[in-house]
Amino acid sequence: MHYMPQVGWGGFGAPQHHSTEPRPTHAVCWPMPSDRSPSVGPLRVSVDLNLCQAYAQCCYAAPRYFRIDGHEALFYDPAPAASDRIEIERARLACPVQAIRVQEPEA
Amino acid sequence: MGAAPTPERIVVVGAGLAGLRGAEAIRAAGFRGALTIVGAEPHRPYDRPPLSKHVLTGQIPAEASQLPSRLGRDVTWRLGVDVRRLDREGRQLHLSDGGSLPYDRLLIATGTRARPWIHADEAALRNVFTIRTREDAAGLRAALVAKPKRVLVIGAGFIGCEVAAVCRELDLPVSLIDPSPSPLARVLGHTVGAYIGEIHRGRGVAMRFGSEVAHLEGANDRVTGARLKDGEVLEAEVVVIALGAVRNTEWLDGSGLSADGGGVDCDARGFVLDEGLRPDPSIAAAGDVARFPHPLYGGRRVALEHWGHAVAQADHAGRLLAGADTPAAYAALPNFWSVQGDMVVKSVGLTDGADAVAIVQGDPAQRRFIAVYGRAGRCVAALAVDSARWLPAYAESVASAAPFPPAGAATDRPLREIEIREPGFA
Repeated sequence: MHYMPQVGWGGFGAPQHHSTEPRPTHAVCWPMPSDRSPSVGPLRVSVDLNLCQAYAQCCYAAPRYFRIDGHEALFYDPAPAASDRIEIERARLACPVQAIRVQEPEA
Repeated sequence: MGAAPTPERIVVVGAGLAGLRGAEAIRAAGFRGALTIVGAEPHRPYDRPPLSKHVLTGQIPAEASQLPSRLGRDVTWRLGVDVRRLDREGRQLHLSDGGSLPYDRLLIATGTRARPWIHADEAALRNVFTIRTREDAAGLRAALVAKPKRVLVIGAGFIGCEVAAVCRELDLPVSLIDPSPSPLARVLGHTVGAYIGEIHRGRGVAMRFGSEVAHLEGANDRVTGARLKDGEVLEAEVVVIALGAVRNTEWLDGSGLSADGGGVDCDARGFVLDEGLRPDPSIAAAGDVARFPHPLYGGRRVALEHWGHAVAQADHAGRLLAGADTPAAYAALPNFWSVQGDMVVKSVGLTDGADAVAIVQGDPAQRRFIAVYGRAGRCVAALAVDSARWLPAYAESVASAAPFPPAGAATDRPLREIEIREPGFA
């Protein structure tokens, strides 16, 4: 990685101010392709949902891209905007079971 | 390793999850020769699970799920090209574009395709869908956006249940039809299937079990409904065929490998077998298409259509082909998940042949529970409904074939209060 995620917390104790953000509704807040930067492709994200146990740390770290529905159904955006890479990297690092995989945009 | 010296050319046939992860493993194991990935679809490898869930709800576009890759530029992609034939003597592949492709080592990861509706003319009616590809999902999504008066889902396996749940999330009337007595009965048995059926019924899915569709009906090339075997007609503006998958092995006809619609046979290490059941040490298989003897289940040959299996077996097979150390037998514990609406169903192990099932934790009436399956007094599988965090404890019981019912796992009740029931396989 050519950047460093912002430090200060390691994922297991997500800062409370993140959780006070309004829960996103995808129709409004989700970055759809038209919003994504035309010059750089999106990040590529996948989550191993066998590993995922809905600890929801990703939802605190990157609330616009990860969400828990019901008790433990993870929704995530597999193609986040490259400009939000720090947020996504925080989510990846915060996952207690290391289920999140991220690829930088292809140049 | 076997016959060939250090390979110079490795070809991966199949550009899905298993093909990608297999290619990554080949590179990660240190192979520096020419690596080519051939894929029938014109896309880089993409993740299929979202296609029957969040793509249909419209939360992500169908083209968004391209998989993150650790491959560099030192890979040749041949996408939108079918492999027509494997010539093992000449060590080359014949391609649909007329070309041929030589190999020293080959990874077979051609996966499956959706099993089509039995009558091709009816399957060709507008608004009849299967779900396997990105394009399938985009087409079905467009049909759901048009607010059909009713959706009919034929087949109550995992995909069928997921699609039915999506329809309810979209507030669309939906019917789920299957000859079984309950959803997921073939995989989970009727006892647990009935619990899951109740959850879907509670969410407004119209259940038509013990019923079978004879024909789809149409007018002006567009589907209008289905005629059941008992003559009843169900009206529907959209029909989803969810009858499972067919393995892509036709291209292996004439190759001398042991392959049929159930997969290509492999030995315990992962090398494919020829018709004399001798391993070919230059060819391995991984993912949905690979049929292999599972040590945990007495060496019974299985082909697993699971995401996690594609990842684990592709990693194993990639290392095997690259000449890295691998275990003598691939033995990853089978596991899968299914998201049905906001309900998560997760499983470890294989329920095949189970002769007992017990709810060991939670309560089906609360829609959160864990069921453990036993066979001949041993744990063979565990299933979690909205209880994933407790599943790893039971996975250990399954992996070690612990006595059934499991005494040492995370059960929330005294062992003597665990009721052992028939799993209800047909």
